[in-house]
Amino acid sequence: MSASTLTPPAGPAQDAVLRASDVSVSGPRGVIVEPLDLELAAGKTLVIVGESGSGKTLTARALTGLLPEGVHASGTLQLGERTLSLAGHGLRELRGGGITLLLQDPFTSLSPTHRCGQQIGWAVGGERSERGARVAALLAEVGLAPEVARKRPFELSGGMRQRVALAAALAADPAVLIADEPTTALDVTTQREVLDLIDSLQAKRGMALLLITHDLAVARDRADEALVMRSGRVLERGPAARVLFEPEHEYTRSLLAADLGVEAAEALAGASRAEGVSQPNAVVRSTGESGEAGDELLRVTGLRKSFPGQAAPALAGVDLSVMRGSTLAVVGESGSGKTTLARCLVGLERPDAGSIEFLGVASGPRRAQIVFQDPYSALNPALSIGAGLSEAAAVGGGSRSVEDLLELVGLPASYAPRRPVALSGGERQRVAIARALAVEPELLILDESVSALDVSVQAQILRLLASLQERLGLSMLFITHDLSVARAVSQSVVVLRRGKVVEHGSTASVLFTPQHEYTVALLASIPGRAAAAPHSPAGQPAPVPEEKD
Amino acid sequence: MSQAILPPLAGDGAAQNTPGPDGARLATARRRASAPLTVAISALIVLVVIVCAVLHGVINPWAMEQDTQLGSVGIGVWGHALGTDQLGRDVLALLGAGALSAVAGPVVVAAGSLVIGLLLGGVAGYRGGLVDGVVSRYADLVLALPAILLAIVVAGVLGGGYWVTVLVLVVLFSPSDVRLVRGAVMEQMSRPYIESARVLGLSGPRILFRHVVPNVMPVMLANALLNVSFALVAISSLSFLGMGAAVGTADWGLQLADGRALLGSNPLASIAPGVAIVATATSVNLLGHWLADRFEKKAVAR
Amino acid sequence: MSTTAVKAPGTKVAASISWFVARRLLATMLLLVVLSFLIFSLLYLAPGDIAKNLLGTKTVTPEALAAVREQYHLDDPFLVQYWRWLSGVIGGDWGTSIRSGLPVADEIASRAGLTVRLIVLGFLIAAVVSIPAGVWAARRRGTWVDRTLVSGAVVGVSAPGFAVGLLLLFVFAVTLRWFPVYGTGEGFWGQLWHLTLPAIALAVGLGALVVQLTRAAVVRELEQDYVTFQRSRGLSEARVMGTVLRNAAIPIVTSLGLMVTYLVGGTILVEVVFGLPGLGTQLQQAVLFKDVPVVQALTLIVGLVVCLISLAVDLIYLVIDPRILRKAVAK
Repeated sequence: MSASTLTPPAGPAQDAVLRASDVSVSGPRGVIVEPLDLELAAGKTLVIVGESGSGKTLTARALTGLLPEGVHASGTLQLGERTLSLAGHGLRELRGGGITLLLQDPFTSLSPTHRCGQQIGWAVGGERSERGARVAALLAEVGLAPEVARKRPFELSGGMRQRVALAAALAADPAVLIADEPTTALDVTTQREVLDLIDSLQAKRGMALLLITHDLAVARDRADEALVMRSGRVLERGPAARVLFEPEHEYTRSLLAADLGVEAAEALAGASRAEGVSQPNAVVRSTGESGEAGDELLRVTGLRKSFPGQAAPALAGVDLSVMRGSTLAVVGESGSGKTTLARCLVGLERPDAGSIEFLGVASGPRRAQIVFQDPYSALNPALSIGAGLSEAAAVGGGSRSVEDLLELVGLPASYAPRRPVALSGGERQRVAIARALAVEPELLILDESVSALDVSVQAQILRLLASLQERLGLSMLFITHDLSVARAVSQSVVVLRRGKVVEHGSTASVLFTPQHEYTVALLASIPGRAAAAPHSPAGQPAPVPEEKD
Repeated sequence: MSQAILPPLAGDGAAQNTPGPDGARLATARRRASAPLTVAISALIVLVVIVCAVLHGVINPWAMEQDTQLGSVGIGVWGHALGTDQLGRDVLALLGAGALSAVAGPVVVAAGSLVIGLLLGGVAGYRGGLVDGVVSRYADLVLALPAILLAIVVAGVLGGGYWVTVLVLVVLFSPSDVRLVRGAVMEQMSRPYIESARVLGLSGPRILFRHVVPNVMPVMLANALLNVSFALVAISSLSFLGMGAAVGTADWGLQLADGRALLGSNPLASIAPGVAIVATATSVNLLGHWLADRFEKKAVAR
Repeated sequence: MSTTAVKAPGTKVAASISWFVARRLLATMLLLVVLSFLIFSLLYLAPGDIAKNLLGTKTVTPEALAAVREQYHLDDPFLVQYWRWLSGVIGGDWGTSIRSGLPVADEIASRAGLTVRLIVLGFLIAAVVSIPAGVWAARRRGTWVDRTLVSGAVVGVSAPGFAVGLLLLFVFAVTLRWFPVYGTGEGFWGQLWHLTLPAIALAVGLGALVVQLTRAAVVRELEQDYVTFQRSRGLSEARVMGTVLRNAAIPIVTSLGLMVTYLVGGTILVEVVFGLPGLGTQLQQAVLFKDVPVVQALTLIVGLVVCLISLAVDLIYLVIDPRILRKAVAK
């Protein structure tokens, strides 16, 4: 990224490396992606933004001729001097030196049994010795030591594997790199490093980059031009400075509003908090710290848990407490122990040491209930929605009927006879919340409960939770890797790293004036935050949360 | 849709775009079209065999009796569509009578193996710990032994005939069912909806029978069909070797062994039961595969 | 879960390999002990008086019975008998056949050659035909080629060796007279000619199994992201298939144990249907005659071979799948 966002759109530039026109994709049931045109310039980045199902990945695959079976593309592609049809097999010749596709998951995009150097070297011609030197040079280019060439992928971390994949992708010196969600499978801190690396390589090599992402914040950081897709249609396109910061289309606006890093905090604050909140960002309700400070619901002290076969303990002495009627966010990356903590709290794991005290009046399952991450396995596929809910209500002795429970989570009563398979992800997560609420628990634990959902659905569920808290006086423990979600929902935060609490306090103090370096690093790696300020053109409103409506 | 049609993208990333149900259904719709014809033919064959087995002794109670004078008759003789065997018995009638032995034993083997699998595997998968250790080691042990060899040796040395053979096969077939149920139950146990049921405080048996078993059963039923097919092959093999059905009873394996001597004069006396075994086993096998496929796709669509 | 780069020190790896091998050896020994115990119990499982059974066709007189009881130490406790038998077997004394009165070891040795040739030939035919067929089906999945091969494989695994053998006999030996109906033949080519039909009969079922395994393994690999990624990098289709086959080989090689188990059953059926004087017919006759010493010896030999092959497969696994080492280290 350079000053490119500052420059106005170049229009149909002469230096376009790749021009694709009338690109459309159709499957057995008809058209999946409607005809669209694309243009990529050397050294520039075009980002395609869209939620799952938008057709963004199929568009990328269509450009490389790598569509899944039964799906076909049409249109033409012009790369340099050559013009090819997207329908034929001719694209094969362009792959490698012309266009290369970098995939999402570094854990599966390399062959597990071959050494990394060997895999990179396949795309390099020449003598054996020359090849070795070339592989080492490529590894150096992506910031890896030459020893990595002798390693097999399973010996490397996710970030390192994606670097190896990047080196492999660059081995044939492609003019165009298509990166399909290249960092979605990685932790946030690693995500940033890899994206920065792609940026610098692009600049150095003058490569054109087509970046596919669902993450609006990533798009805002990296794009020169942007294209917003939904249900196989292009809704909006143009220079990133306009499309991603001042969108015209309603859907893009709603995406932007739903993008939690930017606005949901305020949306939620407006929905559930009193008006007297002083700063827009400090969505902290003061209850936790003021009058009812002594009203503790859950107290966890010195919680420890190790799993056999793992060197480091999952929990290495965790202390925390949840206040009645408030929300505590537990923040950490994968492997921090946050899920183990949740499982200990609801009795799915037995801690090795430490204590969990529920200071409320309830006993048994009414103390705490949990909602998990994956909506697709949250509900028993063999039971109807109504049967599942009434079973839960019966066992917990709850007083709410199935209709009441569905109403509570904003679903019509007509959903009761349906099977989970007929529901969308967001609806299933609502049913999972209703099932947890059926026993009228004192504490509701949400273990990454919104992270598998599309951003627009995420915001709806978070809004639902905020209103439930308001209506029922619920206490919540919200486990998340996503600092922007934590910022939106919680009054206090605990930052967990390698099974230890590294920082805790009110949401405002921890997330806006972090003390621990790990929290600082986490915050810095949130996409859309760090890079936003320096890039915002002087005259335009800076894309920081404070200044959005 | 874009993500969904692609093979599932693994990884434990936070905001991963989980393949939605639409794509899975799309793939199913494409593949299902090719199934019906072979499945229909298979179902028809199985139906005919079952009818013959159920009506055993009703259609042709004289099947085991000598109908012509001793000695074989060629094909196409009036009243004997497939000729007669060495003992002058009508080959077609014998084939019909042998259906009982081709259905009863294999079904008992599959059912017995399924019951043992559900009981031992269910408990092992649900309880884990020591129970699981003992059950798993037992299953490992039996699975490591050469099953057919043991069946031949044990059934042969015991010399107890058809039902002893069936019993031996139940013992030898069950460990793979135990393993399958155990795996399926364990896989279910880690599912969020089972964990939620545990957090809700539902009782163990209730979770096992209302939440786990209904989700395990489809796979097990499809597997039971495959077991019927393999058991039919195993039982008729043992009968052929003289270690299954007793001499003088109607059984395809035995019939084939007896008819071998007539390969020159009436080859159908041995080829017909051979074809019957292969056709029935293949049909049941195809039905099992088809069911397993359907359940799998249904599970994916969830 | 992010996995950090681990540079496992050589000694640690070596130690974990030897620990893994030691554990597998121990498990194999245990299995053999259990198997030998079961095999020895066969003597007692057979209905009727043991001494009478051991006499076989000889006239039953009180003296003869007493002699047999003396010879086999039948009055000793069960475990003592087992131990005596086991040490005899390990020392090379396999007893005498009840039926022929000849040493069991000699009887087996004279027949083993034929069975080994039959199995090797059947295995080769199955491997040479089925592995390419499985790969072909996987690459053309969903087409008529795939459907035909898959359906054929289902018929193949559902067809017992004796039924296939009989059909081959009728078509190629009785009707077309291309191959002999009976006998083992003289000289290399004569034997090969006589063994061709039996080997094909054996290969049908095994081959069907191998087609299914190969197809499943290759399809699984073809669906992996690395295939798409390699293609997107412009690598040749030959290179892509090379990688796929390298990775698909792992599950195929590890299914060797399953194949051996299949071969054991198949060989007996095929030898009987073709009337070949190999170990399979010997076992059938010994079982029918209740010639327990022969049955015990043959079962033990087959059990030993099966166990050793499954041990070998595990060790090969260690070599061909580098990921296993890591898991072994983790344990």
